[in-house]
Amino acid sequence: MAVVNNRESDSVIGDLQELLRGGDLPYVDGLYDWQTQLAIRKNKERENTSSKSIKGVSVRSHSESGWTYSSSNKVDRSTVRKLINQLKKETRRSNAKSKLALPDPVKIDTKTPVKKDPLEIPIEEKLQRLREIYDLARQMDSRIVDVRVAYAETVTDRALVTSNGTQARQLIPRTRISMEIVVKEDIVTDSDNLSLGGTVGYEVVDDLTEEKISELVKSAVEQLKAVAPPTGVQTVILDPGTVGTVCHESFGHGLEADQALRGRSYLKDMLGKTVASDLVTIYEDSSLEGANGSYHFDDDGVKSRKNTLVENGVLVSFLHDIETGAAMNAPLTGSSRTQNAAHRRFIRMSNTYAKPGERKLDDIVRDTKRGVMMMRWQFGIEDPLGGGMQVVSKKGYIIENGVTTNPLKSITLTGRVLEVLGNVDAVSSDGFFVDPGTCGKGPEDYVPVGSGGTWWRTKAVIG
Amino acid sequence: MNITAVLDKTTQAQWEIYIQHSTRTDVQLRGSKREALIRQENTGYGVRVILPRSGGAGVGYSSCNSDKDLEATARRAHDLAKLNRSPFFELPAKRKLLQTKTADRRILTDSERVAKDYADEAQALISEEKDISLTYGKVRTYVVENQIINSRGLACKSVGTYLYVEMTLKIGSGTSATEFWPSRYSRRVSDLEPTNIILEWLKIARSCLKRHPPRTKQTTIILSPAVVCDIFVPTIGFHSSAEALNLNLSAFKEHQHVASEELTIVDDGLYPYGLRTNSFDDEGQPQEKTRLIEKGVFKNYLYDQLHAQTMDAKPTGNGIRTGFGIDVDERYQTIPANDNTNLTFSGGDQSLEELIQDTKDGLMIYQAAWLNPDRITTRFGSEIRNAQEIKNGELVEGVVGGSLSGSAFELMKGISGISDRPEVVSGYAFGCVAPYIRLEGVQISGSS
Repeated sequence: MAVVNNRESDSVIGDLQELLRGGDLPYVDGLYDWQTQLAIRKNKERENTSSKSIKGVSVRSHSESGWTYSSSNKVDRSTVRKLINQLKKETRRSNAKSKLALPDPVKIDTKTPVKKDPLEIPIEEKLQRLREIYDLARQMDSRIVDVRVAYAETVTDRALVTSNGTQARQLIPRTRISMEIVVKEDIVTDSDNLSLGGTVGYEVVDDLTEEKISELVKSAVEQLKAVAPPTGVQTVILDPGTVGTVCHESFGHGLEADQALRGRSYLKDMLGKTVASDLVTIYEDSSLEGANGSYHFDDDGVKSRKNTLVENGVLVSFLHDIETGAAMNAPLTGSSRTQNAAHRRFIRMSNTYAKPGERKLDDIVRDTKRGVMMMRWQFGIEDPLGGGMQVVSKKGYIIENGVTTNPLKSITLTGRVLEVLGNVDAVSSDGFFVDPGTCGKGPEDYVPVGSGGTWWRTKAVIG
Repeated sequence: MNITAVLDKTTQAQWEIYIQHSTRTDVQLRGSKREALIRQENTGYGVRVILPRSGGAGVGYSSCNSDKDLEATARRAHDLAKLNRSPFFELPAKRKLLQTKTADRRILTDSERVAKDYADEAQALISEEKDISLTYGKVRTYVVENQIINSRGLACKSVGTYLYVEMTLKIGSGTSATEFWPSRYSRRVSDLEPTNIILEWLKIARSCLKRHPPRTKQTTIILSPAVVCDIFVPTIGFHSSAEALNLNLSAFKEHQHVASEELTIVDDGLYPYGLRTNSFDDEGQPQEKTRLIEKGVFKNYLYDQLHAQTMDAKPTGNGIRTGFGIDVDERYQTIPANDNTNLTFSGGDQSLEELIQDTKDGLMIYQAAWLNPDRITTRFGSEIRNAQEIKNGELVEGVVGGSLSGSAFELMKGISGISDRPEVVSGYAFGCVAPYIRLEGVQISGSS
């Protein structure tokens, strides 16, 4: 069970405050992070329950020779003192001078409210609910060979203390339930999966209804007869999750201003220019209620907010932290994030989504003579310098003369991201959804995010 | 802290504790400058409790190091175990362990110096290039101590080192620039000497200075060891596992032809300086060499403790702690799973140069964006990030964009050549000793 011990957290925060006070360094801050988690998994073979409690403290300073971090998962006073003293010694030695866009100091102590607090529900009840979901799905089709159900509740207790007076603490619960149906017929095996969650409580389990489970089973079974997608340039209709992944992975990573400072962003000189069809508007919103990537303030102490990245096809803003905000003379966007105290803070996205349009999905499909519908995104990866893209979905359908026909196996969308965004010729008004996900900066440093929107039609290379 | 006394007092059931203590130095680069220096020290543990009758298993992970915290974590694991239903199995008893090579004296002696010197040398080598520049890079060293103690009297300990290098090399300039973004882990510096690996990466980057997107076609391709690792480790690893067999999900049957005759793979948990090499697996069972595929024929499954005992087989030392996004010094936060150690491909009888000379028309794929194959269906699709065309036995112009797709197990049947020098590699997947492999009839999708 995820449990928060206020007294212990208060003590570490108090130590950080006292030890960071004074001195002749331009800026030092300390981040304390305590993540507790309860996870339950069930499949045909076994049940597993685990409980996690991982703490850490990380202090950092900035000088002409870059950032220096010291961190430990021992959070006692003498360790914190050792980390800070080491940092002070080194920063002095490097003749500290740095330019950072520090926000006004704040004092915050806040918590994300949830409808059903997971801590008030016995673990036995949670495990029993997973067993019921498992049993219900198992009996829905004789071709099911395994059902995997996983539940996780996490509470992140994070505090930032800075030498210029910020003392900000936030408690963020995240709850998630996911399910995979594995089916087999003769020698063909396939599966389908779904995941629900966000900065929400146990109420998310109620969202996994019998109807959703039944749809998932049907979808997995349908995959047994699915065929490989056509290859090459195609008209594609993307579902909201896939649209969100295009906005996040293919486009958004190029707007992380640390990449621009490194000379690693194809969007560096595109501010104010047209980067997409005028039907496209993209937001980045760390304050979106209930979404997986939401928080109260970022790890530089900047309040969460809704940023517009693209408005009617025109690039409006990059994402910044206190270093790039100063270097590029840009307003802060509240985008500094870390996985935990053992990792460095970077510019990251939170919840990235596209604004709904004006047409109904049915109308867009009817209006498509030949194409492919891409559904159930699985993963994507950035190419911040090259502006290439890769988004992989689990399934899809052929569209012929305005009707969806044969089911397709997994589809890979590639191409030049600006071409794909520029080719968007229809955006649906219906189906808005923000999917929970996890994002790495390259192959590591994972943070919770959300991505979504409504349905888009565009042209891209698929395979 | 008397771990055995605390755990014996807290739970009467079987228990196991996996402890990791690590130090890490991370140097991050921006062009010719240092962007960040990060030092870390971490200690954490995972306690697993298995109850005698129900087999219920409860797990607690913690980074809080005191008798009180250990007791609370163990009690929690015990309480969680009471709720579960799982097949019962016994944890391993004490066994004789073989010596393995897992640590580099240079990293053990001064890991921070190694990271800083490596970063300086890499920056110097890249700065000599005219059309290639370093935008961002990471050089990281780790010293990791692993210890397992269990209620059956097992107590084993090992020390390992790692070096991680990631470089983003900008190819060309202006709006037409692209990049080569490789990364790799090794156990020792000599496997990733800058004068070898950085120069090799620069050569690949140079090959993409002149480039074009691929055409849609089925063609011959040669995969780099890192791409081989990303396609085959998750798929062969899963289908060779006793778990996949038990769940009726394995596509393999013993003595069945599953690949071209050129393919021989051993799961080698003892490979010198392999990334998953150790004397013991993450449950304390001795690691060993298990023949998986021999001349295209599947031979043996891989067993952890649970599957060995419930399926009446001998454990093969394949209880491995791993997880998505879990680094080598964070493995205490995971539960042992039935996974491969080092999938070790036998080398062929041709050098890489001979393989290329022997290819009339094809593509050399150095890097794909993220292959991440579906481990059940083995299907994958990925953007081609860096490749080079092969024409009449010679590497010619670079190829960037489009995608390659297919099924890993279909590809295994189309192997037409394997290079003679397998190397310890990593990609998104981990635990592989791979050569270059040539495959026939692979689907490439492009814009024309």
